[in-house]
Amino acid sequence: MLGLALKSLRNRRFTAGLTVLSIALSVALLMGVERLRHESQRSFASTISGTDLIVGARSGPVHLLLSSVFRIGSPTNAISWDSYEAIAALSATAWAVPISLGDTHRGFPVAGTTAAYFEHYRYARERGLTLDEGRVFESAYEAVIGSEVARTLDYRSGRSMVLSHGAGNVSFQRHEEAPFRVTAVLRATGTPVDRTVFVSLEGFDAMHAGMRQGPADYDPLKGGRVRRPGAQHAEHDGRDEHKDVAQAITAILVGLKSRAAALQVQRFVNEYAAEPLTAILPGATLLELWSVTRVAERALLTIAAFVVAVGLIGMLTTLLTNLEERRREMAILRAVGAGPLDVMALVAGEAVFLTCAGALLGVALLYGFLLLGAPALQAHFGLFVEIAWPSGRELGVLGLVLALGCLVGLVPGYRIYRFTLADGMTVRL
Amino acid sequence: MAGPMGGTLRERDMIVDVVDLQYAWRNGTGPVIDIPSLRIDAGERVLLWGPSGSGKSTLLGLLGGVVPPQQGRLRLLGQDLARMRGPQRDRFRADHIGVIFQLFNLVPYLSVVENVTLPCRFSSHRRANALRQSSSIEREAIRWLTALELSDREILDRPVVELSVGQQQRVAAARALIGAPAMVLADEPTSALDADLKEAFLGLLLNECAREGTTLLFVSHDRSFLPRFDRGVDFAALNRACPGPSAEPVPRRRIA
Repeated sequence: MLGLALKSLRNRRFTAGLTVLSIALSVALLMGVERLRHESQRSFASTISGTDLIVGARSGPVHLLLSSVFRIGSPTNAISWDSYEAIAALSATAWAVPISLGDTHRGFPVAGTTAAYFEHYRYARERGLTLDEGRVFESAYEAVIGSEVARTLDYRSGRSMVLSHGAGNVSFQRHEEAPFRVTAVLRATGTPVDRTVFVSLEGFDAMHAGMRQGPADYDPLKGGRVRRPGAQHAEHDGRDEHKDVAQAITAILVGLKSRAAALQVQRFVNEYAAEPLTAILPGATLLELWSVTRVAERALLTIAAFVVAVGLIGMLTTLLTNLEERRREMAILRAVGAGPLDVMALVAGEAVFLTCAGALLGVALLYGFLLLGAPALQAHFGLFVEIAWPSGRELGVLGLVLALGCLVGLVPGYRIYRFTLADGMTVRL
Repeated sequence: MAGPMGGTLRERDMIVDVVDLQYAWRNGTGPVIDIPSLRIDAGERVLLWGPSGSGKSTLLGLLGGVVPPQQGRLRLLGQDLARMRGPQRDRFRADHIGVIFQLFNLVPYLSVVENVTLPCRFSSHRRANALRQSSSIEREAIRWLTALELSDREILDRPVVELSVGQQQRVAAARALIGAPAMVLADEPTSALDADLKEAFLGLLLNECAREGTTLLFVSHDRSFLPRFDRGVDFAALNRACPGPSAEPVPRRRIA
């Protein structure tokens, strides 16, 4: 029977192939949407761990999280160094790392921070940052770069780079007078860290120094270059000196001695009198973010589910159209001993086979897309897709599609069953 | 009459034993089959003729075990078909009955040999019979095709849909005969053939049935073949439900 079914399908391989392809594409789409949803959440959630609180200027929690950790959107307003010191001095605080954001280097975000960042930043549960080569920056004009920055721009430690001001891919002010030297490349993490250029707070300020002089220094008629008086910016060593220079940072990553203190510290920050601040719990804010994106996810999933339905209905149409032709074939099979249930199984089994083949091909397509598309997703959306086995939820979706395919197969199966009972062996069509 | 492949079933005298068989389709238009008595003996080659629409195909459906009998006695090879359940009747048909249709006899996606060996896939009984004759069912299929003058390698390799109607009917005959079924039911298998081919096909079929001792029930609306059969049955006379002009039962003639 199986051999017969396969030969029959091979005879109709063109329509069968199209059916399988349409089911495969719809399954790949549905699973792809589910996979991207899951991967984006996983990727986001694993980007920041070990950090109990993020502090920034008063703004929306999601905005603060996105800009400070994911370098998405414009940075929040600056906060003062004094606030940093106040928070770092709290008894509940284990560590506090300041971050300054807002600059880019050839499209990659530049973050000013301290060496403590490399010590305390954790991703994917408990993994810390590792230097592939070199050492952490020690002076203002040194930089540590993420793996992707190194790969894309072909930078190695020891090479100089010029940092420009302003977020965005194209920056028309370049401080070629003040090149930074790469001292280390970070090992790939699969987080936005890979796309970041890290410099010391002093270095970050050095980039800014010219800008603080005001727009008068900027003369677009002279090639858009800025002649900065502060170009020969003195190197700053140590925080004490920095304290006088660095007026502002963008955010503070805070680690607490005990998680239990998180809400207390959060309240302290939110009620901080000297300036309006916001403290967020990364996990809670991620949940808030998901609740925002859920609507879009649901819409996408719904559309993908409809596409699957269309694929299955396409299969049903093909099977029903073939049915009239196949009545003769079935009468022959009846004559040589096939029962009505055999005939039904033959037709319904075909639907099951097509759905299975479609689902398998769909999964294969999905992994193909993921393998081919992962670098692009990473480059354009900062989304790090892990090529993992299908999750339980994905298998559930797949199972549902298969079940629906079997159900759809019952329709032509039942019709041919009725036909064979009525036709008997004498089909004169 | 026991043929060369005769099994125990073949030695039974009566292949078809019908008494007061009635059948009505469900739409309630009254019985289409009402046969007081029909008996066909082993090895007989019987022509059943009658106008179209008289219920011949329904009778074939009943004899083939595809249509379940409703009333009366329907025994084939001594077994009561009325007492069999659907799958049992299917099995019975697979084992003991070969069928040739009027047209469209072949499964288009199977090769000639695969079409012929089809019954051996559904019946281990016929498979075993076939293997008693040849070393494989494919060889047995070719043996039958050769007997029916279809041995050209060229024909065997061609897609069945490219065969002529005459060739297709001979492939169908080979399929009906492979594995020594007790009875072959032929439902107007010559109606699509022109006169010469009709003669040739009929000759081959009758010869092979005679050689194998296979009982043949050949249905046609054309009674001109009658002299070549052992016996003829006028369906209009046989079937009381037949709306034809000759409602009066006519005594069956023995010709052979």
